[in-house]
Amino acid sequence: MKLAMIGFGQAGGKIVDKFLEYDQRTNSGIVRSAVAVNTAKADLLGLEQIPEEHRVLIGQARVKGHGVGADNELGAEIAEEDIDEIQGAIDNIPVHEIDAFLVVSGLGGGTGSGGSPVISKHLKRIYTEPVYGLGVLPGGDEGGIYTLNAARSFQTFVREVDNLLVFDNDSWRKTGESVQGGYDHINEEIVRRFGVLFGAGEVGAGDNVAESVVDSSEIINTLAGGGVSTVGYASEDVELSGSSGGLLSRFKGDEGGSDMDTANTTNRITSLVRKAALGRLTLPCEIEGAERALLVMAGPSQHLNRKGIERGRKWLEEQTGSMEVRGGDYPTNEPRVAAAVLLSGIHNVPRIKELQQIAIEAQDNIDDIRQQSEDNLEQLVEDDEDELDPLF
Amino acid sequence: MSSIPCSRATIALLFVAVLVAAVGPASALSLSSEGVPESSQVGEEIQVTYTIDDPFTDAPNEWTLQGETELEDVRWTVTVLRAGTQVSQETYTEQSFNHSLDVDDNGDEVVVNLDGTTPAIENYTYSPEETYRVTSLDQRTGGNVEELTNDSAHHYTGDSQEARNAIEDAETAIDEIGGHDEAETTLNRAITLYEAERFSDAVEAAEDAQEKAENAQQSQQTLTMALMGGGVLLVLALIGGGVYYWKSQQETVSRL
Ligand SMILES: Nc1nc2c(ncn2[C@@H]2O[C@H](COP(=O)(O)OP(=O)(O)OP(=O)(O)O)[C@@H](O)[C@H]2O)c(=O)[nH]1
Ligand SMILES: [Mg+2]
Repeated sequence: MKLAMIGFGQAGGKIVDKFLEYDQRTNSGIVRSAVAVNTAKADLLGLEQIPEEHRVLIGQARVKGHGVGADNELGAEIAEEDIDEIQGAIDNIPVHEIDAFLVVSGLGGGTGSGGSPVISKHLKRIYTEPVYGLGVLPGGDEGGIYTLNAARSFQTFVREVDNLLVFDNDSWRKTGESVQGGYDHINEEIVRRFGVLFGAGEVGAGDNVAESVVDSSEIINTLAGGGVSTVGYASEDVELSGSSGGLLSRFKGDEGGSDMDTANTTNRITSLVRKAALGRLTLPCEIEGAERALLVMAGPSQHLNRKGIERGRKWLEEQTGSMEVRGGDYPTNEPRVAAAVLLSGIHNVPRIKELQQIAIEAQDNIDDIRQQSEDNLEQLVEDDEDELDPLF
Repeated sequence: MSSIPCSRATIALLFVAVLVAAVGPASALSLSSEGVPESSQVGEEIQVTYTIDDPFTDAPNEWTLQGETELEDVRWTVTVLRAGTQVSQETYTEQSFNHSLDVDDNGDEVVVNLDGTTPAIENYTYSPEETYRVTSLDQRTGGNVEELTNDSAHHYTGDSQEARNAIEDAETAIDEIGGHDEAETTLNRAITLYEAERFSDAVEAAEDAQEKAENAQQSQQTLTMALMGGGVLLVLALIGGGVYYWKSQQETVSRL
């Protein structure tokens, strides 16, 4: 499926940049256009793939190109004021060629956190294509203000998009990586998961086209109905048997194999589906109760089969209790088989409740501290008996 | 009460209404107007004049002239004349007025002058274009109201007009090539932007649409040329494709 991606803020820009790189390297054909928007000039300069004329610096009059310093209310205000400049870049997007917009941002900061709901609302008003969000939650160690920003942005963002796909930095940082070094790794993970998912609807001319291939409308239908989504993923190396990648076998249509092979293939698929859904999700949640799901089985076509995918799909139906589980394949030519599971309309997400709890505490703390420092200042400035008067 | 007598009563009433309408005075008043604009810019001053000759010929001896407008900062002047000489004059500064006329006042001509400024646009629509009511004049006799005139005009702002012109130009360019999907999509977006009051964006989109249409026209002309060059290109493409395929088999592009 073809997307117009808009990266808002530093995290958003970097992730979209990575998507472009992935897209060009793998020839997946998912990024039709990419735009980066930021209040910080340096962040825009740091991008590598997004063409310069698609980078929009907003709020220059107010923050002089230095970012909003994690003030997401200011981020939202600036986005609203400079919406024309953003629209100017969006005008270059051939909207008739895209299936949807994807607005990407880190919800803990200022620019992306505040701006991405604003631009989403604007896009929904002007275009008929669906507008999806990809929101990144902050790590638990980033501090109260980031959590508060994220909790408030999350509420707004969900309301303004057709579906909010969430990636939680917190559950991906735990493996002991440093934050800075971690982002590259994390961004690759983000791009691979969502790349496989969206790439599924975009099978190129060079790829084998099976009858059961996932298409864009299945992705769109799974995301339709709104709410919050998460993605699970698991992969396993396989052998690309002898001539399988070559021209000859394609012309011969040589798909046959022993019954043993078929059974192996089926089992591998069902086991990958389980691993994907029960393993680390982009946003950890209880998968039971998810309203809709989509299973994408990717890999060389001789390692994919109808039966395996059908079993995987059934299993997802049982686990989620959903009557709307779609499934299909995504033929690729590399020695690996992968299952990507999109769970849409999830409700039982303890991580969000925890985030909101911490945000409320942070908000109370901030109010207390502000009140206290006002009191302190007044005590310092005013004389005890109030005998002095200010000049004016 | 059962429903049958009720509906009979309704039918009876309908009959009466039809009869009254048929017999009632079909207004034969002759009214002429001057200065009614087809369009005007928001804030522009408008002056219109309506003249009713022989206000009591084929009309009751007493009736009320009612006027209404959407112009702002309004001034109506109703002048009754006999043989070109003023008999009476009245001014009103509200958007509507009622003026009683009596045959005993000896008037043979009523002149209504209206002076006001073009109102702001509440809702931008490309097609049908935005309009406001310049004037409606009614003749009321007792409970019976006859419309004498009802004039409206298109109104615009500098920005909206510029955007409208750009969209019209794009429409013409697309019509000239007998339609073009891509250009029409962009044109529709220009119209959406126009209706969202985003005029500079609408202009840009419209220009974009026009350009697409014009490019398409050019490329239709160059197509013949291109077909001739196509044979050569095909050979090159086959060679290139072969090399590309060979290379793509060498490197692993890992999506998963
Ligand atoms: N996954 C991922 N998260 C990131 C990355 N960079 C920052 N973040 C997260 O995004 C949040 C900060 O958002 P940024 O995008 O840096 O902030 P911004 O939108 O540029 O806003 P300001 O810097 O306040 O102007 C933090 O909570 C980080 O956890 C990244 O490259 N990848
Ligand atoms: Mg920043």
